[in-house]
Amino acid sequence: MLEIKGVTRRFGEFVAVDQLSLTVQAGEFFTLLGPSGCGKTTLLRMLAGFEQPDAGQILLDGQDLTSVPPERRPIHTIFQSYALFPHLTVADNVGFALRMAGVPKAEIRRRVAEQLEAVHLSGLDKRYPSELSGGQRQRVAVARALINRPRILLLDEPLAALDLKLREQMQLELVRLQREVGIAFVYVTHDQSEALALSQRVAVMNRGRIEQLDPPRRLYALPRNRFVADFIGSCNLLDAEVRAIRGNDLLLAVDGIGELLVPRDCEAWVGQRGALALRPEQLRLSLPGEPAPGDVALDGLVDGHLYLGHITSYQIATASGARLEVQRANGAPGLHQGLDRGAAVRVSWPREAGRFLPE
Amino acid sequence: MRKPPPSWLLSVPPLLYLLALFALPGLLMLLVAFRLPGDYGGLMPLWSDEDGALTVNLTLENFTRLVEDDIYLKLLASSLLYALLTTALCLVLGYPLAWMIARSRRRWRDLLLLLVILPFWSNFLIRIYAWMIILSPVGALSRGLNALLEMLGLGPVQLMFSPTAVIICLVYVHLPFMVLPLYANLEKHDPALLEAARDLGASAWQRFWRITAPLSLPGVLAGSALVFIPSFSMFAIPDLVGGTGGIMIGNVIKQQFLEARDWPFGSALSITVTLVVLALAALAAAAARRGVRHA
Repeated sequence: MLEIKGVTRRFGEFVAVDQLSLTVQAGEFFTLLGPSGCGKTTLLRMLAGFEQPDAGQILLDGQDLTSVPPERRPIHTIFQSYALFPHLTVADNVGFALRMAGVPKAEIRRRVAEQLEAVHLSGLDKRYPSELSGGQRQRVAVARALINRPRILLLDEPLAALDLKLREQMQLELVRLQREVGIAFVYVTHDQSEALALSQRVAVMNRGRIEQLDPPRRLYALPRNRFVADFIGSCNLLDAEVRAIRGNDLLLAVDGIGELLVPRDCEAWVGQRGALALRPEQLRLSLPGEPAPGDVALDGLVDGHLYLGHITSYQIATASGARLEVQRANGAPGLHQGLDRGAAVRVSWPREAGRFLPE
Repeated sequence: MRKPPPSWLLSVPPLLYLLALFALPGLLMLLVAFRLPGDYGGLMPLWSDEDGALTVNLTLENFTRLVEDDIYLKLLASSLLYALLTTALCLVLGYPLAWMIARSRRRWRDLLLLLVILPFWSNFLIRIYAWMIILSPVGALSRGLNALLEMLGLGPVQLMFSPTAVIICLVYVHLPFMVLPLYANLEKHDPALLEAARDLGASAWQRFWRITAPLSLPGVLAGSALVFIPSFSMFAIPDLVGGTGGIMIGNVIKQQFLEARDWPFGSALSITVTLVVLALAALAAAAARRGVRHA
């Protein structure tokens, strides 16, 4: 169990990590997600030991790591650039940690062979990093970091340099590998879809703090604030104010829409400002005059659309003055294809799809 | 459409340059080494016609003399030793300096590099004269050193006009040639490699010997070549500060051309020096090829 307690790191005036606390469970796939400059990499570097916190503590299974240098932490890192040693073969790269620890040569050979097999690199042991493809380099980095069985593996955007197809394949492999070795992975990324796909829990970071820490499904379905809703997936966010509280519902006055009811799932008070969040895939399109499938319906015009293969994303300008993104699965039954710019449509959604997010 | 000029055309200027300034003089030197010296310097005509008997004045004597009189081979060997020692000392002194400059903050780096090349702004001979003052028996260095030795009950030493003086000046003059290529190499190292090594449990010592040292090998070789080659054939420094004990092969070559006026023998010595350097360079290149390939 890795505990981060009130850790702060400043660079001059800039506070990179601000009194941050969180706990990573043993064997967990944990992700730090956030835009660049949110402090996720700084936090990772403090876990590895390359940065010292200005305040706070980092504990691994109860032991204080704060004063332990990186070379003596049972924590290894996979660097964004992989940082493979260019003058060493694949086998020497993978066996590096064992060699530094003075493990006998025969045992190093045996364990390197074992590790290379685990990442499907058998037979490439005599190659140099410059002779490998991007995916192979990534596997070497993984094998090198795992060979002497660290208690935690830190991964700093390890897939950022790969193309999409390979990235998806490596995502599956990382998840499989993490289950096999059973140690906690702390994964840093700015790619929200990667975070959702891989992790058991995700901490969304912004300006050195955690905005929300939840499992992926909860994070997507119940974002706690505007930042998280905007960062995870795409989301229509319309400025709103609470007009009244009616039992388990909130009556909102929404810019460009007017008054509507949404379920109440957080503390709220009359007069509170915030945003109405609507996921684009929860909105429905129908032709004007047809019965609308949702509880709330607005007339509007198609302002533009993007064909994305599996879905089409429509930009709708409602008559009431709001702009909404609506996503439709291509090939879904109902509305016929080909809503061109300027076409009159009706946007509707079930009442429960709307959520109020406080500022 | 005009055809683009063939690519070999590009290599014509450098080839001409090498031909005119390197190959031709070298060839000339090689040819002269088989000639006989003229009676008043210069060369004896290639053939002479005495009483109708045509004699061709070519000889191997310059090379046999070089081998038979062992003073030349000894000088060659001691010059080799001077050059190797100079290279080793420059490496030991220059590596930490280059490393320090490469690791210093960017705004300091240019200033530090400027300081490294600053000596080039004054004339080489003037800098050696300065060393003559420093090393002279009445100079502060000699006096301080001898005072220290006297306290330890040891006799006084003379720095000036000794092999020590030659080595000091050789190292002083050639140090920048070691520092600059080393700096150029070390500055390019990816700091993530050292972090990765540290992350994997390597101590500071291990990080240096396993990562930094092998990756800097090309810089070490370049610097060593730039120091070794001019040191080996140096004559000005031993002339000025070496006295009788600190003589090098370069002095003898200079003597043959300017004083003994035996151009053919001087050429033979020169050719030999060139061959030794080439042989060593080939040896170093062969030994380093494997290490450098992936660095």
